[in-house]
Amino acid sequence: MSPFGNALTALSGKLCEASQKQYLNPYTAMAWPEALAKDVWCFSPEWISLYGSPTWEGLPETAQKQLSFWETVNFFSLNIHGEKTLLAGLAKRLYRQDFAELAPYLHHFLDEENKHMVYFGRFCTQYGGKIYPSRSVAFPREYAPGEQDFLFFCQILIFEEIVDAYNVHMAQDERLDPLVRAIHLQHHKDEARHLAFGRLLVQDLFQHHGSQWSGEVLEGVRQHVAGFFRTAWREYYNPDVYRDAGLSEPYERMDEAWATPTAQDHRQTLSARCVAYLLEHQILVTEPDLR
Amino acid sequence: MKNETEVRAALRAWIVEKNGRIRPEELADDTPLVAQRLITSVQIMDLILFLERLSDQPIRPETLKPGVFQDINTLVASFFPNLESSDVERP
Repeated sequence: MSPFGNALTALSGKLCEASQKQYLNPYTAMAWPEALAKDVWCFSPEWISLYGSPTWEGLPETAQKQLSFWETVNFFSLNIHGEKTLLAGLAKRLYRQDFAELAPYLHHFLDEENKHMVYFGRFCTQYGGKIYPSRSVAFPREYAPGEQDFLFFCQILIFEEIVDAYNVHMAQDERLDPLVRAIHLQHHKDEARHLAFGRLLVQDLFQHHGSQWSGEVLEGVRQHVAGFFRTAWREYYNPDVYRDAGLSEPYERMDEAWATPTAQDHRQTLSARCVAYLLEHQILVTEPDLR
Repeated sequence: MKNETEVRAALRAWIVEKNGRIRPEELADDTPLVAQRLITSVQIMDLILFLERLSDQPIRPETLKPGVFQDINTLVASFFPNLESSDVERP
């Protein structure tokens, strides 16, 4: 029996049509200058991890702009790592019997995520000379039926909900470098479809499998989802960024940024819609601790 | 630079704090951390950041060998290979 309801299969057909209409060549979609303009914002200053901290207040604007560049390299790097995981998980499920009806849209999903990595990767390597490594590690373990599928798509949903909030905001910020804005805008256009798909998919998987899990499995799933939410945010506070921006004691800067009230409010605000969704569908029964 | 005893104590304190259920006296240096789910995959990023800070070295997870997070002994052997040894009996 398919875990997916009619709403998801109907939506997946519509999303296929939209993806075909908006099919793009990632190599020609944007203009890539040889170098970025100096003294330009690459990240909305109010959304920089250290914003509102004593360290931020003590930086001259040129140093703040330099930090905004490395924060962008970090944001694009963490997207690459998230999308690598996504590609591997989608490819594993492509044409698997229980996912067969979703295969046409999974092809678009895979195609679009690969294209995102083309421009994220080009930006990071061409202008930053690096892609920041991820500090995520997954341990192999046994799963209850459906648990691994659910956790995979739920993690992707949380990751993309946070990312998309940044994309929407940065794409509209006229202070930012035009290429940076264009990358955020293009990413958002595709992610809007992926998120619509993901919300229904996660809901269906949880309804189908969750009711058959033991209380212990369900509790473990909830702990994992809440823990992942926090981990997803931790990647936005990267000591490598502070080091590259020329700040001393990068681990102390990481702690400072994470604990700044402005940053705590920012995480709560940007997480609110996704947390409400998880609570509404009983995937979580309490709000995750993002402090 | 911390010595081996201090590093082991710091790791034990971190695990006890993050786990929230195990008591320090229940955690030996060979207690299986992953197998007993004392640490989980969603806590690994924080652990790596803690290890980086403690060892004063960046860690690149893609270069790690399987089993490095098995227990406190493997953590010390993998991330602190040049520690000053100490004559403390290990639990």
